[in-house]
Parts: sequence; C-alpha cells; structure tokens
Amino acid sequence: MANLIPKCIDQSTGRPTRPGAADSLVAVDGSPLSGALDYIEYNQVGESTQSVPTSTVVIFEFNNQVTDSDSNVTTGSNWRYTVPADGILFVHFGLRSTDATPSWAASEAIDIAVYVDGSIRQRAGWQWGGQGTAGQVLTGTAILDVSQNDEISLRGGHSSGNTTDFGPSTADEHFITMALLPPKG
Amino acid sequence: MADLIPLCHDSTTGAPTRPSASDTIVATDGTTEILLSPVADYIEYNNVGSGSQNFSNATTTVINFTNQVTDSDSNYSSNTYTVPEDGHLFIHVSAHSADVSPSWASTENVELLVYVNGSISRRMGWQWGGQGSNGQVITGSAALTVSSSDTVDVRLRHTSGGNAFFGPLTSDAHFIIMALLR
Repeated sequence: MANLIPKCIDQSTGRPTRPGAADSLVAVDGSPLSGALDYIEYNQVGESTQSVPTSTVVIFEFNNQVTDSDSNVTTGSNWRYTVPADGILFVHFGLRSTDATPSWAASEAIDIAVYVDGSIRQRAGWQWGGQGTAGQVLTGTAILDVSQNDEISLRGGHSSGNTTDFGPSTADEHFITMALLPPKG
Repeated sequence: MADLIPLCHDSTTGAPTRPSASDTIVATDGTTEILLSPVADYIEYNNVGSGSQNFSNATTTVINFTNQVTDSDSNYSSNTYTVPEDGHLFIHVSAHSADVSPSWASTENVELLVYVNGSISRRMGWQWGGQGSNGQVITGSAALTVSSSDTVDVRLRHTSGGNAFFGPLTSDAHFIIMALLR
C-alpha cells in the first residue's frame, strides 16, 4: 500500500497539475467525485401504529419509503438497514409516542438505542417523565463506523406501565434517515 | 483552491480519458474502487474500564473519555481533540450518570457543552429533572466548522445539589464520537 498522487488538469485553466491539499477532484462536468455512498429515509405515514407493551424491547418499524434507491432496507417486524459498503454511518430518527394514560411519572422512561447485528451499539435516547396529553417526540442521533453487510436497527422500550403506541403520526415526527459516507480517507 | 480533473485510463480499453460523473475510479486490478472519501478523520472513545468521574455541583467540568475504540491518527489526547485539518466536525456524545441522590427535582438540571479553543461553541443538551433509580443518559450532537489545530472538548455541568458520578458503565451509554468532513 502506497500513497499515490494523481495527475490532473486544472478545470479552470486546462493546465496539467497535481492536487494541493485544499483542491478537489471533479469529473469533466465539474461534479464532485466523492460523496455519500447511500442515503435512506423512511417514515410511518399511512402505516399502522406500533403498540409496545411496557418493559418490552421492540424493533421500531418505518415502513413508508421516502428514499431508498438501492433497496437496502427490509421493512416489517424485523426492520433493518443492511449496510452496502464499509463506511461511516450517520443516523437520525424521531419517534412519536401516544400513551393511553398520559402524564408519565418521573420514574417512567423511554429508552432507545441503535443496534448492529442484534446487539446494542449506541444508546441514542433515554427520556424520563413527560408524555403530555398529546404524547411526546423523542429524537436521537448516532454516528458509527460500520462494515459491509452489518444490519442496523432501532430498538427500545418504555417503562410506563401501560401499552404505548408509536407512530404513525406525521413524517416530521416519526422517521428515520441514514447517510453512509466512505471510510476515513 | 481549485477543482482538478484527474487523468485516467479506461480500465477496459486502456485509452486515456477523463472521468465523467457516473464513472468510478479503480485500482490497477480494474475492480477495486478508489474511494475519494470526504471523511478526513473519525474517532470514538468511551470510558469502559475506567472509574466513574465525579462532577461537583454547579461546576463546568471536562468529561473524561479514556478508552480508545478508534483513533488511527491519535488526534484525541487528554480528553481533547485537536483538529487535523480544516473541515466540518460532527460530534455525538452520550453521558450516563448514576447520581448518589437520584430523583432530581424538576428544578435540577444537567447540561452537555462543546468547547472550541476553550470557549463554549454549542450547548448540545440541557435536561431537567428525571434521574431515575438507574440514573439517566443525556445525549447531544453538534455540527460545527473547525480549523486545523483547533482544540475541541466536551464539558458537563449539573445542579443536582451534590456530587454526581458519570460513566463508565457500558460502551453504548457513555461515549464520544467525532467525524471530520472535508
């Protein structure tokens, strides 16, 4: 393995050159030659509400596809994103819940985590109390290095003592987005 | 700074060419893709294997993350990240507390802060009350533009009235992750 310096043409001047640290490599039409390897976005609009019993860890479902050009998401009760290539994965999600008995006690919580291949990887949110009459929205973020064929899911539960419904609500409240970037260069 | 077009050979025909937007740049084996990654750096630390860190009441304190998971260029040292080149930094932090006096009042809070070069840059989280018998997790994220040699650290402040212990617990609940994009 070696470090290689490509021969280039300056797009503006047409002169041959070699890249400086601040330069960018582009295609002949000026398009960037680096970017996201994949991007997916799903929500639960038009789908069923997901009922989650107390003290039970479930896989959250986002079954309405917004963007998934390479079909890397498997929807349904075993919802998962299968990573198409090694890289750095950015995850952002929103979960809208509506408890049948709102106004949770301060000791009652919702606990959400990002799982890789069925094992917890990052605890993305742990929120106590709250849950007003209109429910609550828990948002979370994760950044993780992943390998090709890793299976990513969002799982969690709550301790409200009752069954709590999640989603579908609106696309701005109950969603998941992921952007996969190439590994560190 | 300029936009440069690399000079290539078509891996099938051998003819010299310049890449179009839909082309892929590959190694001389003709198949292995050469990734022009925008990710300049990626680091991940947690506090597994270390003792809990004691945070005094109403005192802003740098959080210690001492267990390296990923940091191939050793840019994180003494709980401070030194930015290796200009770019955009994405930060995600989770801090897990187990307070000695749980069940914080609704007027008691914990804050999660990002500092750049010793000055506050982002307030990532500000959480009131809560703190059940198993503690609580406060998470925060930030995206900021940084320059080479900037120093970045994450600090925590709480007003529980006493000392509060954070970490180490598990790697999924107490960690810091940074990705630097060009």
